[in-house]
Amino acid sequence: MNRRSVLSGIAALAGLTTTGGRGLAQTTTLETSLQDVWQAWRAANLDATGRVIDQFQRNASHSEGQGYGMLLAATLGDQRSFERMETWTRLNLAIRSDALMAWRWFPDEPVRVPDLNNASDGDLFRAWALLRASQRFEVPEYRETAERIVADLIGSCIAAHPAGGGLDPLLLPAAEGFRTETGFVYNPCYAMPLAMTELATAFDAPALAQAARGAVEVSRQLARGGVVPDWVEVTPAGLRAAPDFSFDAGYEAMRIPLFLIWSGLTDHPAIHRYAEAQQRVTPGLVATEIDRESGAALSTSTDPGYKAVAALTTCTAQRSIGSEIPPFSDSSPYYPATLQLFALIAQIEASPMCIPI
Amino acid sequence: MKRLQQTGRALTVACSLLASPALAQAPSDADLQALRFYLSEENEQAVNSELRRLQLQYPDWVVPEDLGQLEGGVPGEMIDRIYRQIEAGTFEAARDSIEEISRTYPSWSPSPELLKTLANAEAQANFDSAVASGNAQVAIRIARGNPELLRCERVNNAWLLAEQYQATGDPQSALGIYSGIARSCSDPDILVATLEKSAAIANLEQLAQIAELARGKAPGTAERLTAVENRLRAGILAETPDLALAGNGAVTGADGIATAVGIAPSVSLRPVTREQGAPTSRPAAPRAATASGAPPRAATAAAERGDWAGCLARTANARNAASVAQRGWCALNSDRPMQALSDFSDAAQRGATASARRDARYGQAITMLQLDMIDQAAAIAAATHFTAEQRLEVESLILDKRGIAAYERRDYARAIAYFDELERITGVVRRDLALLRGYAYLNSGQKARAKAEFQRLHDQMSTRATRRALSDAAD
Repeated sequence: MNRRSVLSGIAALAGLTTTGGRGLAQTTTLETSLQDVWQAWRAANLDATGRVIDQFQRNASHSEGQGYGMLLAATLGDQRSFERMETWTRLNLAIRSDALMAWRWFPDEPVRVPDLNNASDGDLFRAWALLRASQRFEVPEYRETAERIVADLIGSCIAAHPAGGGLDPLLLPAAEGFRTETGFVYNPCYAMPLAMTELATAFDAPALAQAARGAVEVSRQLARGGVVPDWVEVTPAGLRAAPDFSFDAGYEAMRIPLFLIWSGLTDHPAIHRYAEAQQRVTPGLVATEIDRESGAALSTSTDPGYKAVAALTTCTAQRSIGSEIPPFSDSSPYYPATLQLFALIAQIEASPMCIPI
Repeated sequence: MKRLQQTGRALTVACSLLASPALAQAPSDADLQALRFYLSEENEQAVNSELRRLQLQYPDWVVPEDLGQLEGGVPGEMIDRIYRQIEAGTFEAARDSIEEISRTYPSWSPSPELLKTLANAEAQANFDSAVASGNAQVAIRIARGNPELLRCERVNNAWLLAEQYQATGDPQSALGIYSGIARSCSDPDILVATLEKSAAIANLEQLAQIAELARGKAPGTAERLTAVENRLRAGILAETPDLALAGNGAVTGADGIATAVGIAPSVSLRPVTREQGAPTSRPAAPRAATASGAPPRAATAAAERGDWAGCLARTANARNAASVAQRGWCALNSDRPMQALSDFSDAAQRGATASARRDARYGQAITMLQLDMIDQAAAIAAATHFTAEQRLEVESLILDKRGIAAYERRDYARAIAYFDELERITGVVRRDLALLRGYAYLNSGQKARAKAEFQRLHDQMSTRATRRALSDAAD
């Protein structure tokens, strides 16, 4: 595959922001305006050994948390924290025979890593973080590690579309365990389009760019039937609810509009479906689980992290100037706190009109 | 940082005018905590106002010219305490200590070496307790998830893992482990013991394959391995008399070991490679922080990721012995042996502790050997109490170099003696040196011994060099 085929794959995702588009001025703005928030996140979620702790999940750590934390540190220019997280990750999760990570680590079990399977979003974010860090901190080894991860993601976690017919391939949730009799179970929020295209461009990896395009298309199809759900089964006959997996838009799916906005795809229908559902919620609350078909809130929260995602989505969908992204709270748990930082970065990088007011 | 230094000096002068003899004290670690934080954040304004506050509180305190000294100065004993806690198996306490230092010295990060020691020690403790409680499945999962446990220098773990597989009724995986050891480890005693252990579950063919792998790994021990193999074969035949009649055809599939290896891909044993074990890529013990100071954190970090140029840049103006020794290793790795030699000589004189001086002498000897200063290196080796590992490394390099030098000046008897001694202390002799020893025999008129040496090498692996050597010896 040559560079041209990668670039044509990427061009198909019109509107995608790439690293090349982020100027120095923007990097500086990001770092200065988010420094306090980043320090609060770090104090609450990162220990001195470089482990990102998810307190609500039995104080476990997972590849997603490490990947997210590393991406934040790389984007916000915190080399010391980045190095710590990468070191901890390398020693404790990057223990498979390939370059991917085992997905979860428990502090209080004799077998710290009970399952060597990976989670493709964790690996994707770690690779993206390493790529950004290699540029930001000028450490070439990070780039080499990112390239190995990308190669193994393509080798183990990208599957042809079961319907064939020239449809783009898709990113599986993991190397193992999600194949079904006729296709596979798919998580629309694992495939972060901007991460995949930046990596595809850096490493001349068209398969990753095609899978990004495939992900955007699957979310487009799903948005026709309501809010994009947490999980779906991809079969030769099309998309359908996956048995035993949530077909509503819950804690997984709230990342879909966020990642699409961050990727510059601000016209995507998934953003509109999510914004419409959030507008029906009582003011002061945010829907955390949404019934896919009716768009009704199944559960709500007051956490500013979830509110930040809803506010950014609503502002972007309505093309408003200024958003209701609330101030960061250092008492937010790991997951909403991380989503809020992502929302703040996405706002600066890709949706500048939605400045918090 | 330069601007900060100047400001610091100006403040020293200004504030010394306000000195009050009643408060002649220096700030404690706790007092310096805020200053360290501002330094780590490079917040110049906050640094200056904090310095001013401290100077008012401690008028006799002299602000160091280089404020970086305040920033990076985690006392060595604090780091040593963590290592002691890890050694004692109190891992929570070790983690608490890391948190505590991290709070007091915000610019400090635990080194990858420290984190690795912690992770490995915990995994080892969990593995040991799983084995002790007979929980084979858990032991297997711990070992599979922690390849570091399965290194040759911890071969006991691999043997225990094989026993766990046997206990769970999976002899094929156990055989895979024994094959992995035979393929990876070159210590003759380990290979012999592994062969003996494998005999409990191997059939004749599997035993032969493991023995063959072991001989390939340690050609110098081939005879001993063959003798052990023959003894074990006899034992297996005695236990299963049918086999003696049926021959190899009756035993289970010839691909037994290959299959077993396929079952346990994640437990490939990692031998001590040059990168890990060689002195040239080991930065001088970064945790030997003492009164004379530790290398700057940034220099240690650069060395740990193999960034020799970065390490040299960060130690360019180093004065304390630990930093100078660190620069020595980085210089040696950057192919600048002359600088390395000068640094190690300096650090060997001024090192704060006996072990720091010993490690610097070790660096000195290794560098001298690289510069072919063999006699000087030997003089240092004779005068220094090296660790067993350091001594083995230095002495084998000396014997290697002396053997080649003797051969080159046609002192064949001495060349043979050096290579024999090398084989005695390390258990192996490299093929190229063994070939040279064969020629030393040949050139000193001992044709039969030369032929035997060439034949042995040829039988291990036929190459153009061994064919030519045999034909030279046949003339």
